Amino acid sequence: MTDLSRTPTIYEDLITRFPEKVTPETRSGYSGVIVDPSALLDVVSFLRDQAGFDYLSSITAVDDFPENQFEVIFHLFKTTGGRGIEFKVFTGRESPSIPSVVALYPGADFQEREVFDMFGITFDGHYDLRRLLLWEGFAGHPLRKDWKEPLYEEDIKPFKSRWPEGQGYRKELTNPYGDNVNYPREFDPEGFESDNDERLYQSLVSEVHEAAGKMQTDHLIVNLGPQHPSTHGVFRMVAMLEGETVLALKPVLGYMHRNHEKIGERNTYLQNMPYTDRLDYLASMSNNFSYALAIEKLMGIQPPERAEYLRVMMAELTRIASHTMSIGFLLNDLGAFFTPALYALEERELILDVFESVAGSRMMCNYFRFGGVVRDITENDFAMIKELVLNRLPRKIDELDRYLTDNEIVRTRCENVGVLTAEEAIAYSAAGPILRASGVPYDIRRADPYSIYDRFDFDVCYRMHGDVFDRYLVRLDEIRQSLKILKQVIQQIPSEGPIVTGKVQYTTKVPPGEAYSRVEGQRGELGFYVVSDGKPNPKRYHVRAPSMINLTSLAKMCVGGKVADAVTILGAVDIVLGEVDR
Amino acid sequence: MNGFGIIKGMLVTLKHFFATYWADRTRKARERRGTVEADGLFTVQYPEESVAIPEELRVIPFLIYTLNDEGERKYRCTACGICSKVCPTQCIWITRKKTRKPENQCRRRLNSTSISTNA
Repeated sequence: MTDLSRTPTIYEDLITRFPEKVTPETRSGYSGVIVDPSALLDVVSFLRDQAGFDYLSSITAVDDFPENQFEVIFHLFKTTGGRGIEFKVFTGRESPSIPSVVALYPGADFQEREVFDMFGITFDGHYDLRRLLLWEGFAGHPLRKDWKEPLYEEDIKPFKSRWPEGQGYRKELTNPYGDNVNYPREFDPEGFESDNDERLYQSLVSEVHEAAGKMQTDHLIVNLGPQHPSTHGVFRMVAMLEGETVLALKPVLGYMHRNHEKIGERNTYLQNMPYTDRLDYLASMSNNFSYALAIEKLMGIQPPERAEYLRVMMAELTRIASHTMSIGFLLNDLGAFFTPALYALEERELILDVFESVAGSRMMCNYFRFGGVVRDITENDFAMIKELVLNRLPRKIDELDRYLTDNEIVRTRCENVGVLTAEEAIAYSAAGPILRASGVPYDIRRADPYSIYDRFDFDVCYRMHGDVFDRYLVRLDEIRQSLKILKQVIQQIPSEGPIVTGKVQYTTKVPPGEAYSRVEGQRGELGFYVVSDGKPNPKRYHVRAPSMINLTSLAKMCVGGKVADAVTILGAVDIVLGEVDR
Repeated sequence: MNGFGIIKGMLVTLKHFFATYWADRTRKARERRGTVEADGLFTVQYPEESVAIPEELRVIPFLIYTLNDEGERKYRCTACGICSKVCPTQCIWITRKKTRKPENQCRRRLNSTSISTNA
């Protein structure tokens, strides 16, 4: 064993390198260091260029309301694997502002815009700082603690009107214009004019013309979406075209925004579990997994052995279901209308049958609990999983492979389309199959193992071209690796034992502190950042949604290609709007 | 780029096409539809056939009662209030009334319950 005391940790190194600018975090339950805003860019460029933390995972903020302070939290990781680093930047609540890191990490683009949108923290030097999820006329910044939603009742559920003095009524009927529906007295909805689209188009124009160096006149701005079959939901791409070539492109999100995080801060810890299902509704088990891991980290508990295996089993089955579906619908986007999609859906149906019988619901599983799972699987379920994993799925995946991989039309449409190099993929914080198709063998199950993934023998799938076809192949490979893991799970799972640690409780006591958990979700790194202050509900509940952050690189992939390819590329990014818009 | 890949793919669809008719010759084909053993046609012809619903399936919450001889409904709910406390959307209201305490019986009784489907 090496002598750890001789090599300083990265935190100690930072403190000695940037004296007085970097100070250690002293609150109990918290980790990382505090960076002065003036030294932020120096610290970040040191971490990126010299310390090897090349992957920006998440940027988010916390409002310490009674105190006059916002915290902006950064999580950085190495794509070579291992533990990450976390640091915070403090800024006051009046005119909050910190430097933008978007020049160093282009992947910070959407995340900084989201923080600006939700907290009103401006990022100096961000080239296009507009609201990301909310509309431009929205009053206030909803994740500030002193912002109250319309029909606000209380900070913490359960609301007193429900229990103990419950009396069935509908709040909106009793009080249609409650005290907390407020907009400025002089506000006239008739006269409201938005400049958001103008600014959006202008940012496209300036992007292109700066690159071209001179004014071009024959360019056309086209909106793809929000209602467009290829966008898998309500999502808009604004593209600037020259003929059929995309010169610049910007995604517009938030049409389905419901402020999942604000809801999560009102809920108690356990009540958030069903809400996480609604994020990435094609892979709800993974969302449960990540959220349960975050709370378990805070509580310091470990699930029992059988529960660990059940969790891995469900997470891998979800991965197969989600990947088969994304392969099928990629072909739909290519124009192979529904035959491949339906072949893929057959297998997904069978996996959903398992979920229905195990968790009680096909898509909104709500299966995980803190310290275990909610229900044991029966003999019948286990037999069905066995039959699926050992017999049916390998056969069907091979059939799908035979059906699509050699198809000349698929290859022509997918090869060398939407190429993202390894450096770009890392810089844009792309995750999951997109990152791995670009030649970066980065899989959190291997790079920073959680749960019991260090026990299984599996390969990290990656491909070198970084195009749409490689993303398809990586997904196909990952299904095979998931089957490999599942075979080991079936062999190793203890035949009986407890499935939850301790007593089943409806109210969870979570000690104060913070935790960031991440799992390798179907679309990439799925992280939950939860801050607890000892109350029944979380002080801050943030989701690092992989499909939203993968969209940061969408423009990079589409520029230079044709409009028809943009649809293919979006299909290969495999967004789920429940997660993108939250 | 010789079209061989497309033909290979089409053989898969052709196999699916024939498998449906081949499976239909056997008596068990209908029972197998929609299960792990399904071959060929996968979907169930819904109004005529349906798949079994597992016991664990969550449906909307409802109150269970027993009918006594006088035809009176006796609810099993003890008005503990856990459902309204844990409900994430807070759409369950429970009011309880206190009754005199007969022996070996819970003192709390359900007075009324209300579930709002759009709260």
